[in-house]
Amino acid sequence: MPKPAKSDVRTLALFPADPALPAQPSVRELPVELPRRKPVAPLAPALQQPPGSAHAQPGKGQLWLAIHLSRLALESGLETRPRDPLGEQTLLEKIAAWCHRFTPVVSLEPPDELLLEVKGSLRLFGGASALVESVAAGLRTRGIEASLALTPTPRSAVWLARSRGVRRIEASGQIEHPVVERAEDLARYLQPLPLPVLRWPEEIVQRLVSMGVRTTGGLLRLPRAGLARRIGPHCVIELDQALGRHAEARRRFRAPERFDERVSLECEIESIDRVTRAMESVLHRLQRFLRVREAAIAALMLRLEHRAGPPTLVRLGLAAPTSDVAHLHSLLREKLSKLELRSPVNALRLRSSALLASIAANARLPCALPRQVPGASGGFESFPLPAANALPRLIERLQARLGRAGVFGIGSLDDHRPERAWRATAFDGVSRSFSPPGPAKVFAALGETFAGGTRPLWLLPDPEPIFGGVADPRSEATPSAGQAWQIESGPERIESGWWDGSDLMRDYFVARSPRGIRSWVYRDRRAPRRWYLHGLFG
Amino acid sequence: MTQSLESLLQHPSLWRANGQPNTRRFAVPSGYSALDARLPGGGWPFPSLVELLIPEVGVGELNLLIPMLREMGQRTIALLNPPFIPYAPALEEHRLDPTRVVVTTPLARLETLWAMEQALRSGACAAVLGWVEQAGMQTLRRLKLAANEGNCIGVLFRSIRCRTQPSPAHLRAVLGMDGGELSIELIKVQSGRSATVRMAL
Repeated sequence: MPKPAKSDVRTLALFPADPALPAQPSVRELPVELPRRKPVAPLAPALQQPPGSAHAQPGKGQLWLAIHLSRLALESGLETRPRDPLGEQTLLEKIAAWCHRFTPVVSLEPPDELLLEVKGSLRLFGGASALVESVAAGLRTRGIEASLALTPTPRSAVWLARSRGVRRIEASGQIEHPVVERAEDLARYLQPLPLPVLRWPEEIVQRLVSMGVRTTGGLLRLPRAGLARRIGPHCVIELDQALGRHAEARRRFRAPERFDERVSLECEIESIDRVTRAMESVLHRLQRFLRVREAAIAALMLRLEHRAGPPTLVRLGLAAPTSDVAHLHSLLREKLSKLELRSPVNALRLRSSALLASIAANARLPCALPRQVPGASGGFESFPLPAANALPRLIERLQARLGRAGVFGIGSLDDHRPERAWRATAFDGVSRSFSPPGPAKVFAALGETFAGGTRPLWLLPDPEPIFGGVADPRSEATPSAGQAWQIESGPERIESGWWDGSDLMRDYFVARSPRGIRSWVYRDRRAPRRWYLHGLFG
Repeated sequence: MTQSLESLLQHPSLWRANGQPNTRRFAVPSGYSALDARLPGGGWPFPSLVELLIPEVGVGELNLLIPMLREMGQRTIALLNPPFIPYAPALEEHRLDPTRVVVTTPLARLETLWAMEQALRSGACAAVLGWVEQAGMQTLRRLKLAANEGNCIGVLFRSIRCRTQPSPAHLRAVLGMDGGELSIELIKVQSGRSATVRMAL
């Protein structure tokens, strides 16, 4: 940082009208004075001259607290993880929701910052420093490393918080969070900030560095009009916003709404059946709650509180968001029917996930026509297609009772080994979409002439050994008498998988079992060359 | 003239006093002409509950149903409590898209029946195949109603020992293996006659 000059106040420039700048009187016409060492109320006159602009006194009476989440672990190379933008956003929103205890005005600055307007909360928390300290302490106890800064403008707060983050890494000492309550002091605090703190595009920073500008102070000393031409008006406006000469509109963060209701029961309930009944009124309110908000939910948590012991939690995750409470009710009932109460329930609490927008399905008209009965000629086209949500609902319902892994889909894989040529696909709403699949793909291309398969429709999970061997009536060499298994066709040699340790060497045959069942059998080509049953053609 | 009168009489809200309910059942071609000839309407009744009594797994019961399942296009098929793994590569060979298929792990008897009723009633599936040994009259009637409600075909695979038990199913057939051919003995055909069909699969 350059050494301060002798004079206390240095007048930068009186800005002429600049066509490159948007027509905002407060930007163009105000004289700017920058304090160097001891500010003698330099900015105040400027701020007190509102030339008839809506942004006349930007940010007056506001105090912004910026929280910069540090990436210490990431930057010091201790631990590297791929960035997870969604996770970052979620974390930011979680912290923002927590910050609502300090002020109702919280604003996000993705990816790693958030802003709190705290002017109105100062007295409650005992002053600016005390407030900053309590936010910092709260974040620390939640395991969040952050640097904070409190200033009259949001942008300067963010910059200052960022710069503290940088300094912390260098010195790895205790952070003290800068608190600037008066707009007059802002410039003094901003001057030493290095340019990367501004997070301007790399090429602009490079240009400024080549001009010999390395700090914000250096930037502020440059003639304004020229600066706007060189680095673009947006950056100049950002500088103005930081210094409080230009208002900055912040989008307010609102915590996503959720349904959360606790009902304490008048008498303790000992049977699950009654819990289900007690739940009904809460679910009814949930229904109304969702309907007036035109919202759907993707998960529901039921918490049963007992007289003694920890509460019982029943979590209901849905494959697709729903606003149909009757459906939720039936799913909860299935879940509860598997539950055993350890002790009587004296309160229950129903909590939903964050609300999602929903599109209400069309309800039937009261006078709807009776269902068309399809004629024999109509084929399947004359039947109405199943509703789009019918399948997810069925699967949710089955999974509620049979468990998540109890219901699955199947698919084929490109592998020669029969055990690995198929796989079970989970229905969890993510890995497999419920959208109706496209037109039949390869299957139609094979044509009508195709008759039967070379693979069995039933595959045994574990091959069963065949005792007594298998006879091949096609060859004269082996005696077929007395041996019941008869080969029909084959062999098909499958030898694969030497690279991943589960290699196999088998000769597959189609054979008839003693009772005439068409089966898929193989002979292991390795000693002791035994026969196994691996599938049934069904 | 007679034709237009006939079409008028087919209107679903018109009830004719001869006692026959005025819902003509649709039939799905079975893909085997010998069998189609014996089934009223020329195919598997739809919607319906069908009971197939099999001596053992692998007798040809899936091959029998595959043409019907193929006929149903991209609609979902549920396999509840199957005895073995339904093998996806083989389904593809039979031109059935395996992603249409929903499978459950082995289930207890009551759970299978419960799941079958849910799947039939949901309207999400075109065919629901369930493997159950024991089922009471009451349960079977519920399944039949559920199949009607959900517009689908429910196929119940049961042991050949259940042959003498009464059943409300639309169609009951005993499958058997006879010298490399599949024999289908239709022991109950609603609005049709019982018969025996043999065919090579």
